[in-house]
Amino acid sequence: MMVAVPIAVITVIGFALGGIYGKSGDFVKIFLPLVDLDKDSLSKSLIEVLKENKSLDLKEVEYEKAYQLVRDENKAAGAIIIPKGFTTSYLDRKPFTVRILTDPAKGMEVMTIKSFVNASAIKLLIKSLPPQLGLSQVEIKEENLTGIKGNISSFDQNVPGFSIMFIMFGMLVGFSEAIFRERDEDHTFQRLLVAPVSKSSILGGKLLARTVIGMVQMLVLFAFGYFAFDISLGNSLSGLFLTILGVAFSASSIGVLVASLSQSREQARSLGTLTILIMSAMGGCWWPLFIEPKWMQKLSHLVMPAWAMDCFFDLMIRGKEIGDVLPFLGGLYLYGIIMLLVGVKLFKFRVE
Amino acid sequence: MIETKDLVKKYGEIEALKGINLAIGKGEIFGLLGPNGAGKTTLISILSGYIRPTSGDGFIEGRSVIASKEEVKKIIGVVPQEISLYSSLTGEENLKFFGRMYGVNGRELKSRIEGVLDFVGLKERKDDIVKNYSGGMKRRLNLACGIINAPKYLFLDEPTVGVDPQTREHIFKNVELLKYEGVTVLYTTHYMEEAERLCDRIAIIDEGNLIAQGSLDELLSGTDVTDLEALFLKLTGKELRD
Repeated sequence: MMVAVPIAVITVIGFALGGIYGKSGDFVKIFLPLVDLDKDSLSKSLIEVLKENKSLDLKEVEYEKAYQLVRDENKAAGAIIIPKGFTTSYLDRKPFTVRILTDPAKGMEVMTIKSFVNASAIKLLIKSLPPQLGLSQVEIKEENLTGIKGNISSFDQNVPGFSIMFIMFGMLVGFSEAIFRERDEDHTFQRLLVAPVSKSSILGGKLLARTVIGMVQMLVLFAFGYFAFDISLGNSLSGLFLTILGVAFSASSIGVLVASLSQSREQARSLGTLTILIMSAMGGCWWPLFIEPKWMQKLSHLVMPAWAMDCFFDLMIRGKEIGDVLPFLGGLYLYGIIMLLVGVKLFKFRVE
Repeated sequence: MIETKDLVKKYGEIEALKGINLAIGKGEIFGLLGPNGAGKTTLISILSGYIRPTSGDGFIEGRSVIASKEEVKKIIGVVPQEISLYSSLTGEENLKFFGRMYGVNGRELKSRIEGVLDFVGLKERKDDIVKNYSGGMKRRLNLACGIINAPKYLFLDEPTVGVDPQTREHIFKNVELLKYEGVTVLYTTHYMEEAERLCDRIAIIDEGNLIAQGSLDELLSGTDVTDLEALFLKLTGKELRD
């Protein structure tokens, strides 16, 4: 385990960050819908310049579709709108505007898109425009379609992300270690098992206690994030509460499974740490999922944090209501229920 | 009354109990003797519902320990061989917790806690964290937790292991008092003098077989030995068992 854990973590993190450091073919491409309302020479030139950027997956779409992709489906972090009259303004030597529709929940992607558009505009100016027209003539106008506040800080990503990771440490490692202590060291399991209470009550009671502790811990972390770093809590506190409860419940359930799969306290600690680090890396606790390769993004929902981060981003940054996040919330709770059922099935109340 | 019928317990290829038939009368202190690995703890574990037998059954007041496990658990108390306590809680908190597991609450629980603490001589130390207790105090609290539900049947699995003579004497008196109160006690031990002093009847088991049972006089009659230890060694041999 001393070697297996770091090897597994290095492998997962290496793959996750492959899009940044990898070979050219592995670079993560940012999906960028584009609406050309101008359909004239300069807009076509801008599109050609943007297409030269290998990091962009540019796709021309209709105006409504661009809104849909950014605002409703959250499939794109941003969409470029080249307004009607774009080329005419250039020919008249007037300032011209490029609009970008954005989803601030994908803050890093948005920043990247904006910088790419800026760079493309500069390139366009150098290539096409008369020297008397400067960069000040090009205005990039951002329209925030989903965010309840304009500027998303790193804390808006890191407070939920790292809270999930630390709750997992508390619940998963703490729970499984407590189980081994009670069963094999304090021997209190033996006394509980001869009392007139069912096994499910014993395990359920322990799960409930851990879940409540985890929930309180997470509420404190979020309150700290709100007061100290001005993170957004969104419009639906009930949705946020249910998500936090779901994280604590699922983390405790994974703790039951880890305890069931381990033979000793030390093994539970190693397996728990491995599980947490891999889940955190794959599930978007440490960085936004978009920087991971596509294949890894597709696998991200195999781990609990991805479901939780979807809920947190929708509720806290996009300002959605509880009804909007029900699929993710359902996924989060279903994940916990499946882990719990498998864990209970494999759990050994005593060692013969 | 406690009865076992053809009780068998196998752990893979190992047969820990090979068809044990016992009958323990109400209000008796029944001693179960045997070398290490003889099957004493396995027998108590089956009777207390902690493990299931491979075949056969046990009955307490006529109720099966398999079919009526939950009912049986309400009338028995178990003092496991290992100290089974939450070491980070106080003595009183342990009693409160285990009392609640038996559905004892409120004033009744408070009164029982005071009673058992007094009984085992830990009243003055009830607020101390268990990990700060001495070995003997932990043994006494272990006993107290086993009787917090005021059981009619008490299973004591080697309750005097590793304690000083004073604590042992205290535990003996506790057991005698419990018998006086009408509790039926099943007592396993390695110490022959304990069995001689405390038990109304004794059973000797070895390698999963019941090899002798009866009162001390019944066991010794017709043999050429004069004490239980000599009889025990004669029946079980002198070879090391672990």
